[in-house]
Formats: sequence, structure tokens, C-alpha cells
Amino acid sequence: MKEILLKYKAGLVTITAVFLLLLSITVIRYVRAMNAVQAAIEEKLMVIPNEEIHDAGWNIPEIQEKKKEINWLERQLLLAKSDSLNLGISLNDSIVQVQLKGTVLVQAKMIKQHPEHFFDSLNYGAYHDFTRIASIVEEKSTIPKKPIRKVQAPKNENEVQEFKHDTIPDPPIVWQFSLNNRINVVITGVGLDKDSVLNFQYRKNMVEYKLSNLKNNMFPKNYNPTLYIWLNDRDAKSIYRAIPEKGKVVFKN
Amino acid sequence: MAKVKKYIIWSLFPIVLGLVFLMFAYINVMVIPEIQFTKYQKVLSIKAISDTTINVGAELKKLDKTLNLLSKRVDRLTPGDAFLVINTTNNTFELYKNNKIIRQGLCSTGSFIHLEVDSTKSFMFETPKGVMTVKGKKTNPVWTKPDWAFIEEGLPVPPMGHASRIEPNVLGDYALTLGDGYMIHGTLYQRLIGSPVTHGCVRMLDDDLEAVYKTLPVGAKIFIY
Repeated sequence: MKEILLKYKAGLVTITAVFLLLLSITVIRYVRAMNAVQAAIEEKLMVIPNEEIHDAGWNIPEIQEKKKEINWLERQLLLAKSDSLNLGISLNDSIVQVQLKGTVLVQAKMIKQHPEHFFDSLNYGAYHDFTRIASIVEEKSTIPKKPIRKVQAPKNENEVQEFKHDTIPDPPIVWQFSLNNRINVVITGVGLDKDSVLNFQYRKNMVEYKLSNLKNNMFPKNYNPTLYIWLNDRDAKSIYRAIPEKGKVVFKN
Repeated sequence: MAKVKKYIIWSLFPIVLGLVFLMFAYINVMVIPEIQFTKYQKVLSIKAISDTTINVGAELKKLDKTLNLLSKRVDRLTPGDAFLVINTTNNTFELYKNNKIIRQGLCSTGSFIHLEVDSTKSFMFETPKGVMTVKGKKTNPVWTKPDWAFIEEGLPVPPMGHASRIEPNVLGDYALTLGDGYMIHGTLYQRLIGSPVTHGCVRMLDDDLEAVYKTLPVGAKIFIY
């Protein structure tokens, strides 16, 4: 045994060194990540009044269901006062909708959501806070909000070029936005492959998002829960382009 | 034989290193975020203290009443009569009557071309999003060409009211005016319907336009998103 250890010392030392290095990075990352969660929890609990946490009857499923529906309708009425298009995300109905003045203009069925039980058992105060009307504070997308094409006006008839409509389709959309209630949402459009079958790659997408998030946030200072939603690409693009910058979003669960 | 054994053992090292790296990558990329979310959700999910004084039946009755009232208020927000919804991304429309889709199909909306004349003047060909109302209805509409129609053809812009601005038979059989120069009308270029090619108006196929014209009264709402 000793002979083997001596014979392959260089290799074993390398493996041990790499292991210890990765382990320490992971431990530091874990501690920082947990501290970030703790800070986020404390911050959240500060905005939820103590008396709101224990609401009468909230632990009775029928009452809770009705209170959630009432909450959703009250938010709809508030949003209807605005002249802007806004986004409604009903997680228990698996629906994302665009509404204006109380009229639902488009309703898209989610292909998948992750986590599957995103905030579905919050206490009353936390639920109230989660479903408060939130505003988009930051967003990025793989396609432009407005597909503007700049064209120089011809100086005379000879300069007029025949109008050519751009027929190259946009790539499937990935729309990420952060809300002022510190929730991140990632909406991914699922397009059709060459056989006209939905090209849904849930695991690949998840690894890509988490990897890109890790790159920017290896040792996180803040924690924002992220909701991932997959929609039909056509619906996802329509919804993205309908919602104005800094648009309003409301959740139901 | 000893050489082969040594070679095999040495080749195992990079494999083990790779596996160690993958394991830590998985923990960092997938496991830690999941633990974070679980902890966050768990703390905010503390169950409410069971309230023994509550009369469930009476509470449910009260909630039902509120729910009914709110549902009615929300339902009243959607126009009860006819209205039109236009999707400017997919260039489609849905015509509603009594809260049911009675017709849907393709249309054409703004091209998003930004026509630059000079440093001070430009035109943006975009269909505005939001809610509009039908301001007026016309049969056999005549197009009064605005300035951009001449500019994009490289022609000099004639004065307002000039005869060259009047162009009949290009807007189809019907038009619904929406204000600010925007209209829903027909087109000679029917094969382009479904593409974003207009200067801001909404173009429809002849049959669809006729249905929309006959269904929507003046004052009907047009939702554009």
C-alpha cells in the first residue's frame, strides 16, 4: 500500500489538492449563499406585519382558496385602473396572461414551471406580500422589445428600393426580469424543431440558466428567488412585446 | 505487464479528477440554489395558528358573497358587446361578441421601420399598443396620402389638399377609423397579410374586414397588444 502511495504520489497529491480546493470553494459558497438567504428572509419578514401572519381561517383549505381568489380579483380591479398592459401569472392554473383595463387579451398555458410548488404554502402575510402588484425593475431578452429597422428616406424615385420583408424568424425567446418584490422570473419560449415538434429541453435550459447565474454570482450577497416558466414561443414573444418596460406583474398561487 | 498496469492507473487520475470536478460543479450549480429556495420558502410558510373561534360555515358564506361581488365587478370590465383584439407580434386578430370569439385570423400591423428623412425629421411605422375605440366607419374609403407616402417614394411632398394626395380604391371596401390617422382597412397586397408591413394601420383580408366592419359599432373597443 505504502509502495503504491509513493509510486503515484504526484497523482494522489493533485487529486487531493483539487478536491480540497473545490471543497473550500463550495463551503465558502454555501455559507455565503445561506447568509444571503437569511438576510433576504429577515428583510422580507420586516415588511410583513406580524398580525398578518396568522390570519383567521388561513389554515382551512376552502377558506384559503377563496381568500386567494378574492386577493387575485382585488388586484385585477386595481390593475384595471391603469392604462398600461400588464402581466398576470396564475401558478396554480398554470397560466400567464396579458390584460388591459380588466380585459384578458392573451392567455398562455405554461408548458412547465420550476419550482413546481413556487410559494404555494405561504402564510397569509407572506402570500399577501407575494401577490402584491409588483413592477419590473430590470429585464433582458434574446429578442428586442421593438424590432425597429432604420431606413434612410430616398432622395428621389431612382433611389427607391423594393421593400423586402425580413423573413428570418427570431430565435426562441428567453426573457428574464427582476421585480421590485425581489422575485426573478425567467420565461423561455419553446419553439418547434424541424419536424414541427415542440423542442422542449428543460434540463438543458436549467443547467444553462444556473451556470450563467453562477458565473455572475459565485459568492452571492443577495438572494432573490427565481421562477422559471416555459411557454409556447409565439405566446412568449407576444407577451414579452406587449408588456411595457417597467410593466406591472401580479401573481396568484 | 507492469507497464500496462502503471499506464492504466495513471490514466485513472484524470478521470477521477474529472468526476471530482463534476460533483462539485453539480453541488454548486444545482444543489445550493435548490437548498436556498427551500429554506426561503420554508421560513415564509410557517403555518397559521389554528383559530378555534372561527365559524367556518359563516366565514365561507361571507367570503362567497365578497367573491361574487368582486367577480361581477371584474366581469363588467370586459366589454359585453363586440370588441376586437389585435396581436401586433404575431399579426393576428380575434373578434369577440358577447365574450365569445366569433372570428379570428391574420392581419398586418406596423413594420417598425424608422424612416429617417434628415436629422430633424423621421417617421416611425408602428401600430400603437393599448385600447382604442372605433371613431367612425366608412365604405369605399379614399386614402388621403400623408407626407411619408411621398417621402418613402422619393417624391416631392405636395401641399395639403393637393389632388395628388387623394387615392381611391386602395383601402378595400371598408375602413374603421381609430383616431390620430390610424385605421383598420383592406389592402391590394393581400399576400402580405400576416406580416408586419403597414405604416401603423391594421390591414385585413376582405372577408375578415367585412365581418369586423359589420360587427363593430362606432364606440367599440379595439385592444392592441
